[in-house]
Amino acid sequence: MTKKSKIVTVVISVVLLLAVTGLSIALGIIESKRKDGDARLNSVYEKSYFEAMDSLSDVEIKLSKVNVIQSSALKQQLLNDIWRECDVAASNLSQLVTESEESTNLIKFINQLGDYSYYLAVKLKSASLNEEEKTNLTEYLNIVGTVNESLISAHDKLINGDKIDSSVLTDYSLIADAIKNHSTVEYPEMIYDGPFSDGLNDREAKFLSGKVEVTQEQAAEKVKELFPDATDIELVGTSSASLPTYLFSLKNDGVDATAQITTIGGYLVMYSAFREVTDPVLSEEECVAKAARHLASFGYDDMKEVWVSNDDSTVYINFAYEQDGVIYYPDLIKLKICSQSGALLGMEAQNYLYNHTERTFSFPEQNSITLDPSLTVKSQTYCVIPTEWNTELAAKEIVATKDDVVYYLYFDPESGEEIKVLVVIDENGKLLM
Amino acid sequence: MKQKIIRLNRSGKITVLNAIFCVALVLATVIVGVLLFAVADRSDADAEAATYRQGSTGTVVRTIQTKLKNWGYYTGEVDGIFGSKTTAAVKYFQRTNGLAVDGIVGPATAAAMGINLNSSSTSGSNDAYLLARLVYGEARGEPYVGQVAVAAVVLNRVRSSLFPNTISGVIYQSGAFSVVDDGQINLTPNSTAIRAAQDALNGWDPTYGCLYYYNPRTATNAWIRQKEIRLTIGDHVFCV
Repeated sequence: MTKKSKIVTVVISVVLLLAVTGLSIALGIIESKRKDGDARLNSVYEKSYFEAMDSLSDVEIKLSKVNVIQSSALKQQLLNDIWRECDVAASNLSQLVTESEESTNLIKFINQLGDYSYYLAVKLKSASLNEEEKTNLTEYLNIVGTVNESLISAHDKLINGDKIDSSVLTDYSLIADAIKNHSTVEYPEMIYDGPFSDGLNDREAKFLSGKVEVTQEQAAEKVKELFPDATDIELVGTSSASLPTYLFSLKNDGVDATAQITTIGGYLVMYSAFREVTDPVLSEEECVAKAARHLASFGYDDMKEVWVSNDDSTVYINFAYEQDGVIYYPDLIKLKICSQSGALLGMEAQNYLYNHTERTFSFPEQNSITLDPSLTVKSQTYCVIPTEWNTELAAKEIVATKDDVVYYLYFDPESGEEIKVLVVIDENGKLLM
Repeated sequence: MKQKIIRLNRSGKITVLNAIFCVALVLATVIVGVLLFAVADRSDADAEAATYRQGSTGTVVRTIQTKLKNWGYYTGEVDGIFGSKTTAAVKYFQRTNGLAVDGIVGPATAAAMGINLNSSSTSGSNDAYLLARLVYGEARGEPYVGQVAVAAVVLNRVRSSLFPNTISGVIYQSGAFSVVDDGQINLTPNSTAIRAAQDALNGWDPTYGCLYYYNPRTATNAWIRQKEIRLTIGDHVFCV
């Protein structure tokens, strides 16, 4: 072996040794990071799992109590607790299970059980539970019991070493299996006055009832008529939703837009476009005036602007139907105006189409409303407001301020009782919350 | 192994030795690369601060205008609308304070003005931004109305009993959106996606209550394919 080749050998050995050591260290670091990550993810899953189990056990215990006690106040308290526990359980379970028929049905049942409990708690303030409601609660107690059993059997597997890990995300997960094994549970159809009620699934567009169906060609004509300057009008699809529409693409005011025309009646129900607004020139009032002109040209009359919000120089304006000084908030149409060019960027009238109809609300002449003395009244009007389950309530609206914060307060015009209060949040465009 | 190499060397095949050197070098480079990657991986979780530019509105813009006005850089009205006058004032402020002159209030300019950009967001606007990130990840190549539709599906799920009852709950539901699994949800949304999310939050629902959507060319989930299709926008079909 020559001296030169010896040096070469040593150099190669050292380089290789360094390389192998370096690689091992790097792999070690990566592996330990992965393990850390896995462990953390695993603990998040376990936390969700245990919280879901805790909440559902609580729901079971409280449901069984509701079924035997007489006190209305205690029943209300328990039902309110069930409502909250169901919310926690549903949100934790949704972290654990993948989308499938079984898991979706379970989450639906838990959400509805919570909603139903809330509805009963509200009802108990003025009435007692009827026989049907009592039977329902017994039935739901049985279902919750079955679900809990399956979760507990999954828990047994868990503490026996079958970790909940990222494999939870596969079809073979413990939870999904547990739910599948109990998919024989017949979840009931639940109809009651709540936002999650099954009774809300099929809504009828009241304004369109009795109107005639328009053809595709007539709808295209309608788009031309509403947007005389538009080009490239093209039918791109139809929607078979509860509000069937023709969907058109068009070029208007220099931007691509989409317009939807109802199959029944041929009304413009939605318009949508995008344009970056960099140099606002129009004031909010000018935008409102432009929006009102657009709205009249679309064939919607007697509309009053009830809300204006400037969001990064795109101005959103809500209009509601007004008749004899009464504002009908369910009949809402929203428009979106570019404060740079004044162009229409959006229009949305589905609430109006679903809700607008002849109504027979009465408003008493006199009413006794007591306001918090620290409030300064800015305006007041009679109105009709929508509830979360698409029914309507007559109300007296009082807009008042306290410490520069604006509140919208709604009162029952008969009893003077507060029904609802909203506060204006002014942050990147106004929000009512 | 080494013995063999040397023997080859002695027989005069220097090129083999060279090749081994090269392999060793490549290996070393790869290792350095991996190590660098591991280090870099740690630092890319930087929190993102909001920026304000021409067209922005809101209370922070009002704060910016008030400060600029008090210091004599701005002569316009304090109206919360970032217009060309505000841009000019910001540029003036940046020029006199040795900042990059771009007319945009980012972290450096805000710090010089004594404004904390991070504290300005509320839970409401965070929801809007999260929704915009989902829209950007899921539908950035889609027509505008298709992006609004994706955001509307999320909000329809929030209102539905079948899904969690918050925007973040719906978006981060296990396996619900592929962009959450592959990290695309962490991309910075463009102004189109932000506006589309805002439209959906303001009540625009081009799908009329749809709860699902998928791309029929790429969807593999048999279960979702059984759903009743209500509407097609761009590459997505929307169903209930």
